[in-house]
Amino acid sequence: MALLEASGLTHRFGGLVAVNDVTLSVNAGEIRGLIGPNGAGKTTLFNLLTGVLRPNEGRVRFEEADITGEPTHRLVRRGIVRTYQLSQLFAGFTVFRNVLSALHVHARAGFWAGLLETPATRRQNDAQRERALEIIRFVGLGGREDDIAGSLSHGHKRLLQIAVGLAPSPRLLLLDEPVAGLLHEDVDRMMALVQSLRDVQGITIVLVEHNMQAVMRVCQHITVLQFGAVIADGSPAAIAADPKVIEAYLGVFENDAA
Amino acid sequence: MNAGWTSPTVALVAALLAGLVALPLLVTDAYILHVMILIGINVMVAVSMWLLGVTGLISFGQAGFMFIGAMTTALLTKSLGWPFWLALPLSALVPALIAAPVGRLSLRVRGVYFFLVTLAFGQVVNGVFAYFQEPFGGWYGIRDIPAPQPASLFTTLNKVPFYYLCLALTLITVGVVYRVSRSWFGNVLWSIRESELLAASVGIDVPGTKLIAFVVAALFAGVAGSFYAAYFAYISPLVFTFEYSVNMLIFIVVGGFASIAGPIVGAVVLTLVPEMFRMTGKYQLLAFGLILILSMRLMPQGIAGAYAAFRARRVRSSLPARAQSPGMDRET
Repeated sequence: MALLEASGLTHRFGGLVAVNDVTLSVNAGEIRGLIGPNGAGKTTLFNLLTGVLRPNEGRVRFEEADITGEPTHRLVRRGIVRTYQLSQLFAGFTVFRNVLSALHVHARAGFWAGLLETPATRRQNDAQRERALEIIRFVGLGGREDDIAGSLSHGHKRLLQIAVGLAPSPRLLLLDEPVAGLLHEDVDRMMALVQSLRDVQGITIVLVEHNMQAVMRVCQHITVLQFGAVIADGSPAAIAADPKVIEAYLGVFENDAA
Repeated sequence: MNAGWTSPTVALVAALLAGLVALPLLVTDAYILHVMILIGINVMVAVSMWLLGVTGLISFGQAGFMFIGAMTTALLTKSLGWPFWLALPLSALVPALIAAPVGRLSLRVRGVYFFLVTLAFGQVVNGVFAYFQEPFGGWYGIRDIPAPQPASLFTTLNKVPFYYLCLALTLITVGVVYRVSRSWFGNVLWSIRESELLAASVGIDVPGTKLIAFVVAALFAGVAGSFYAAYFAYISPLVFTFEYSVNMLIFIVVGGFASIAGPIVGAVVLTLVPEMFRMTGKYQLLAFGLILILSMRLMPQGIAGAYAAFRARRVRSSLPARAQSPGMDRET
């Protein structure tokens, strides 16, 4: 069953068509790779899927419901969470407080709940502390709870991003270049973590990534974008052999084309 | 979530409260009580402005909301003859109701544009009240606003009842803002300050949260304005100016942003300082400016920030190092 379906998505920035008539269907339990050269429109597509941008044309459906243009925070309650390309974190908070804050949707967080804090509110919010520690241990940041997020190493920041993305209990997690700038062994660790998100936690994943090896290894299905349009869609092996994909990545010699 | 209470802080707050309650018994000088009342009004406005400031937004419309609150009290008690005690809650409600649509509009823009929109709002409030002689009194303002009931208690010559009323309202304001700022809702405000993008992507309704903080800030500005009207018995557009809102920001900056102690300390110190330098006559503003510059240079985190750093150093030298974070510590 398709968990996420986008049909005919188009988005223009002025005269530039960043995403051009993209149709995409992600099944529950998949790890979908989304690749393409720089400027292919991957991040824009993410923004359209997660309510950061509203598409000029086309619809997005999640579990059959039309979610086109719904604001990000409401999509989180439906079960769609994304991470950002840059290390977006609550940089001044501790690791623990980052994850705790990300448990927002599970907390009694309203103004009145805060002002008239009842024992029930307190219990519920205290339960989130346990949960935050569990998530921190799950991504492998155990022991770093009290470190300030902004002072973490790049690799640990990436792990914390995953922890923050996990906190709202997503059913669909969209990861924007989770291994960008990571060293080799950190890439392996991150990819193993991504795999376990699906295998252990049952989260469907859409992954934008430049690191081809990493994508080829964990994804069963890859979608390739170029100039905002889907140019190929299929298994890693089919994608790797597709002449249009090779051309998009490596270019083509003039005399070959002739 | 109410962690972070160290025993010296508890003792300090308790001693301060006792001192404030006992003050009229020890001091009979009306001038001192008057200055204390001024401080109370400033603390109310500064603390309510700080709550919104936590999200990184500074509203220069605070004086406008205060004016709306003051005007509501003036019109209800003077023109309609209502008792102050009925006018007070309404004077909190009216600015809050006006803040809702104003906030929805102004919160669409960010950073310096938000300053400008709220600044414009303050000027519009001021302009409207100044333009209409009826019923707002125009530039002359409204005089002879009735005192709270019973009139035999709240007389012009006796500041003590006003002092206690002001103390009660200030404590309620500070108490509510403190409690909210330490709750999960308060943490949400801090998260928005850290990263709006990430806050939204973990399910926080960023515009909605800011709007609530904006409305609450307006509500308490209204309370302060209502009390102002009843105490001074006179309000005019020359009082609730843009400069007044700027002063509130200065209070917060000099006191420190990191905790509620900041706006309180800032309002207390910076209300007292100009009073203390009153005898320097024309040099009063000069001395005020000098002290502002010195405090920014020497205490960039504000007075409260400098105190917290001082306490942290003392604690760290006697205990193993531990991360200091307000509110959302691992151990409760």
